[in-house]
Formats: sequence, C-alpha cells, structure tokens
Amino acid sequence: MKMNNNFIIESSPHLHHPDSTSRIMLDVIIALVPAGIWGVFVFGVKALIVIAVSIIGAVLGEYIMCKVFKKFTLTDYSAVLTGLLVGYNMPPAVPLFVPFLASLFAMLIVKWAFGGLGCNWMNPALGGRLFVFFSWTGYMTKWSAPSTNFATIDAVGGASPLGFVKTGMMDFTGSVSGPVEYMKQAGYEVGYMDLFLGNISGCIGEVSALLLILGGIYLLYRKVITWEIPGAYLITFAVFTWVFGGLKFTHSLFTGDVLFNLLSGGLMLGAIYMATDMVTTPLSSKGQIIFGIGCGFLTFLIRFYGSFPEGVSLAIVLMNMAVPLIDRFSKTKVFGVEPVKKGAKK
Amino acid sequence: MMGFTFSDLDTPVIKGTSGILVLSASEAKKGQRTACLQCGRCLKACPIGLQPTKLFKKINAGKYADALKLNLLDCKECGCCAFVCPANIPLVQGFRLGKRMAPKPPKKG
Repeated sequence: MKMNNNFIIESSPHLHHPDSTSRIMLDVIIALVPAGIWGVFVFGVKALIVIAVSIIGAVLGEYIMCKVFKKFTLTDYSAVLTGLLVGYNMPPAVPLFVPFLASLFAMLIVKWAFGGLGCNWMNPALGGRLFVFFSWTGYMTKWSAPSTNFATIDAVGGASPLGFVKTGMMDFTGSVSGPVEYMKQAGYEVGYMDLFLGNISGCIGEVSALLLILGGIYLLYRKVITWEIPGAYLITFAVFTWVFGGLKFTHSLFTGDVLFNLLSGGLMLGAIYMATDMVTTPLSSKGQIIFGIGCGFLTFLIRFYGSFPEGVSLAIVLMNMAVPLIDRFSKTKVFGVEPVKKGAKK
Repeated sequence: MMGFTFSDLDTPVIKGTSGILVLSASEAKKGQRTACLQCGRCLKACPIGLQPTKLFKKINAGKYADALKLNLLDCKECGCCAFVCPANIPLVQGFRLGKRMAPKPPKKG
C-alpha cells in the first residue's frame, strides 16, 4: 500500500480499551504484594530470599524459552507473576534449590512445552509446586512457626494448623467440638483471629487471609477477576464443609467448622489468585461457575478424605484438566439461532 | 467503532457520509499484540453471544468450515470483542477474512 505515512490504516474498531496483558499481570502482582510483605514480616528475611529465588528461576526459565522460540515475552510480567506465586507456595524454611527448580519446571515444562502464555492447560505455578511437593515432600512440609520477634525466627514450629488437625485426628478418640478446640486440647493454640490475620505457620504467601482478601477486592475492582470462580469455589467448599465437616469429629450433619476451614491452608490464595488464572479456566460465566463448584467439591474431598491435609493445589489442577470439557458444555447462546436438536431432521 | 478507514485525504464527502472521526495519534495507538489469554472478555462483550476467541483461532488455522459451524456469519463486526481484548488481537479483521474465505453454501434450485 502506498499512502501517507502519517496515518494509521487499520481495520475497525479504531479504539481500544487501555487494558493490556502486562497490565493484567501487573495488577495481580500488586494485589499479591501485601500478603507477601506480611509473610516476610512473620517468617523473616529467609522468606524474602525464597520468593526472590523463585522469581529469578521463573524469569530465567522464560528467558531460556524466549531464546529457543525466538520470541520476546518477558515484558508481559507473566513470568514474574508465576515466580511470585511459586514463592508464595513454599514453606519459609525450604532449601533454596526447591523453589528454583519449581519455577524452572513451571516455566519449561508446564508453560512452554505447550506453547507459552495462553496455551498451557495447567496453572504453571501450581504445576511447579506439585512437582516439588511430590519430589521433596519432606522439605515441603517442614513449617516454621510465625514470629513477630526476629530473635526466634528459626524456631522450627510444628505443623500447619490443617496438617496438625489431620494427623492428630487419625488416632484421636476423645470428644471435641471442632478443629479449633482440638488444637487447644493438644496444646497448639490457634484462634480464629490468628487464622484470619495470618499468625499461623504455613506457606509464605498463604497465611494472611485478610490481606489476600483485600488483594482480591482490588482485583475485582480492576475487573481482572470476576466473582464467578472464587464465589462458586468458596461457597461450594463452605457448604460441603458445613454439611459434612462435623462427621470427622463424630458429630451429626450440619456441624462443620466452616470458618476454620475457609481461613486455613492455601484456600484463599488458591481461590482468589490460582483458580482465577485466565489461561486455565473456562471462557464463559456458566463454565466458570461449574469450574468453581468442581474446585470446591474436590478441595473438600481431598482435605477431609484424602491423605494430604491440603487439597487446594490438587483440586485446581484436576479441574484445569476438565476445562476443555467444561468449555464444550457451557457454550454461549447465540442470539436468534435455534439450538440444533440431536437427531433432528433438516 | 464500526467505521472504515480512509487511506487518502482526497476521498470526497458524499450524501451517505454521516460523520467523519479524526483520531489523534495517541487515541489511535494500539497496544502491543500478545498471545490470547483466554480471559473470556470477548465472550462477555459479544452482543450476539458468539465465542470470538474460538472463532479467531479456527480462522487463524484456516479451518473456515469449522468457523461457520460456530456461527461466524452471525457476526455483525461491531468490534466490541476487539475493543475489550487485552491482548490486542485484531479479531474483527480476522472475522472479515474468515467470511470472505469461508466456503459458500450451495445455491438453491
């Protein structure tokens, strides 16, 4: 085409929404920062180093694959975000090669082996976490006690609240009203307020439910995430916990401790930041609700009847696999077109 | 949103010209194109209820017959999908191409 070079000639629409891929990734990173600062505050500088190593690993992995595929995608911040999420999913006392390998695995295998951003079917951060979780389970379940006093930072704590209750209840025959009272009897005092504010042991980024929810509200305001997945996820999980959660403590139905289960473990981090990853979730609202319900149900099953105390990462990855199927069954309704009935004659 | 571009300033104004829109360089500037994030914003924006991201992938792969099955011809090129797309994918341009390239239905009679 021969024309005046001062004009931009392109197909309509000529206006564009200012949001971009990198802006979305940056928003998620901004929303995650407060929870990370809290993690560093209670677990010490070691937590910061773990997060830094994860991010370095992820960016390095992305860089290698950019070279291999001759693209340049480092500027969309997706690698930084994956690294950040991997770091948030690590216990603070983990040896540094574990988060590094997790990030590399997330980038090289989970993300780029399927074609890079937008083509991976599994959440890269969760894939990396699960890889190191099953490879070095010992390191990944060694928790540090939270401490706001830097002198006692290296005191190795017991288990995370969920793990403590899970292993404890296996050979417990007494009678308690719920997980919080059980921990009190066993001398491991954790109240609802500790769970909410993040004064518990756990992974670096998942301890403070309050800050994670605040970040989630920011993401909802920025419309980076929609209410469908976290809403359906948390409500389904809460309902199942309320109905069946009491059975473990030999109580009747409808007595489960919803609050304890919602606030403990990686549920908030998973439901708000991991399950809402755009690439690995269904497209339509209807599909997203189905996805959320599936995640909630699987998390409930794994937490209460599986052998792991934490079910969030496995539940989300399992539902990731079902996404193409969900997409197929949750197509949008086309305006003015009659749905074709099966076996109908033309 | 649905207007077409003039490549030449000598294009005459005719009876049917309802308006001329002049965009400044910053308004017309388009962000960098990235890979589709499957965010689903185009599905929510589409007034017809199509699945623009899936349609575009079919057209991009040259599977025009598959795109027709996803109701490609119902697209009225309003541009809402391309407006909201954070990856700046030229969706409407793709659909126009797809409509041209798609196999024509057999003539009746």
